[in-house]
Amino acid sequence: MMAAFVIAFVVGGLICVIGQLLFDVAKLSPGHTLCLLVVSGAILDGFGLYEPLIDFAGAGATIPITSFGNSLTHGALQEAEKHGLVGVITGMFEVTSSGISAAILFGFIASLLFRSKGRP
Amino acid sequence: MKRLAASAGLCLLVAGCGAGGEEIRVSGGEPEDNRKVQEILGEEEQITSAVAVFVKEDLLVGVEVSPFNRYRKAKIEEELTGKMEKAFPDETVTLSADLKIYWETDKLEELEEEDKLHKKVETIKSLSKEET
Amino acid sequence: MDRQAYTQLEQQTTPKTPLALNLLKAFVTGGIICAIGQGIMYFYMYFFDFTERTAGNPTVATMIFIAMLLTGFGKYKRIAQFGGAGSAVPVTGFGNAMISAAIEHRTEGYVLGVGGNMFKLAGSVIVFGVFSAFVVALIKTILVKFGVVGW
Repeated sequence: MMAAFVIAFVVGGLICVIGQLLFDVAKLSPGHTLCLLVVSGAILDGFGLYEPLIDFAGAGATIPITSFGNSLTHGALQEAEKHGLVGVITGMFEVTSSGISAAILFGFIASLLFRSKGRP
Repeated sequence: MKRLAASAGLCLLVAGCGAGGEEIRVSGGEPEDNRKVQEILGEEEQITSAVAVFVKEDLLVGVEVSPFNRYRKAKIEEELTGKMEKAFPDETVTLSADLKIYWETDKLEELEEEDKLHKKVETIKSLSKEET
Repeated sequence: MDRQAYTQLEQQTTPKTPLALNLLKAFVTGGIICAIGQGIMYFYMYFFDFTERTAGNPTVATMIFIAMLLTGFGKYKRIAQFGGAGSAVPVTGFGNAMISAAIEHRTEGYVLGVGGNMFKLAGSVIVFGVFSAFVVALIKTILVKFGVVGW
């Protein structure tokens, strides 16, 4: 059990280090970095490499934004397996929905509850 | 707390007797079948512990894969399911390396009532089939 | 001032942050967030009927909920200042981007302000995520059709 936490910590931390390298060394903006990570998550799943990583690291692989690209691809591939090419489009949000719907929902709730504390 | 201590003691006992120092608990079947499961799972080195329960025509197995073999979890599951099905052709084998299945199978041992047991088995089966 | 002179000036004036320290901070922050996620995942697995495979979804939703509270009370900004990418890369960063945009643009009204600005940063992530997922899935499906690779 403890090992799972340590592995999640290390793997999640390493993915964030990659992000920081993209920030500092490649001088990318946060937006570009996040997009790049999402795209690489999608590509990794195309090669079937992201699922083993999730099996290995648990939340260390599902919490970073890379898993977003992975689950988009995963849903698309799952549907494609069942329905052929059309499934690529229809299955896209099959798996991902929780992250996006949660972000939209809580974003809206936050705008009802909290006031902006001046310009950042 | 008492139960925890008792089960921990049982684990130690079983681990002490089992091959390779792994924790493997089997219950609910004929003594011969129980031993067979022990042997099959005992050979696997990637497994740190396992729980197997026979319930009528079902054989439910929860295994815990050692941390650095976890990335091959899906493959290990497949291999073991194949082995189990070969060894017990009459039973419906449900095997998973998922921690949830492991926990639930563990709880099965304590359940006595028939219908509750049946319900639990069905839940475990449906859980193990679920995808993402 | 032309472009070159400007970049030169910018490089001179921005304080140099030591790379190794930044990486360490990102590692620790990201690692802690993921370890908390692992704890939440075990919580969902233990008390509800989720498996390791399915527990990821409620975990992500819960993490975003936590991000909402932290953003709303202005704490996430501090974490972001310390952790850099360590706070931006996990989904909490994605949530923070959407939530802070929603809070900030509330004064412009709910429809145009909140609804319109929520996806400012998050939108590009979704767009590129969906597009790349589409391309990858399309290529793989076609390859499978021709029997080059299996599922």
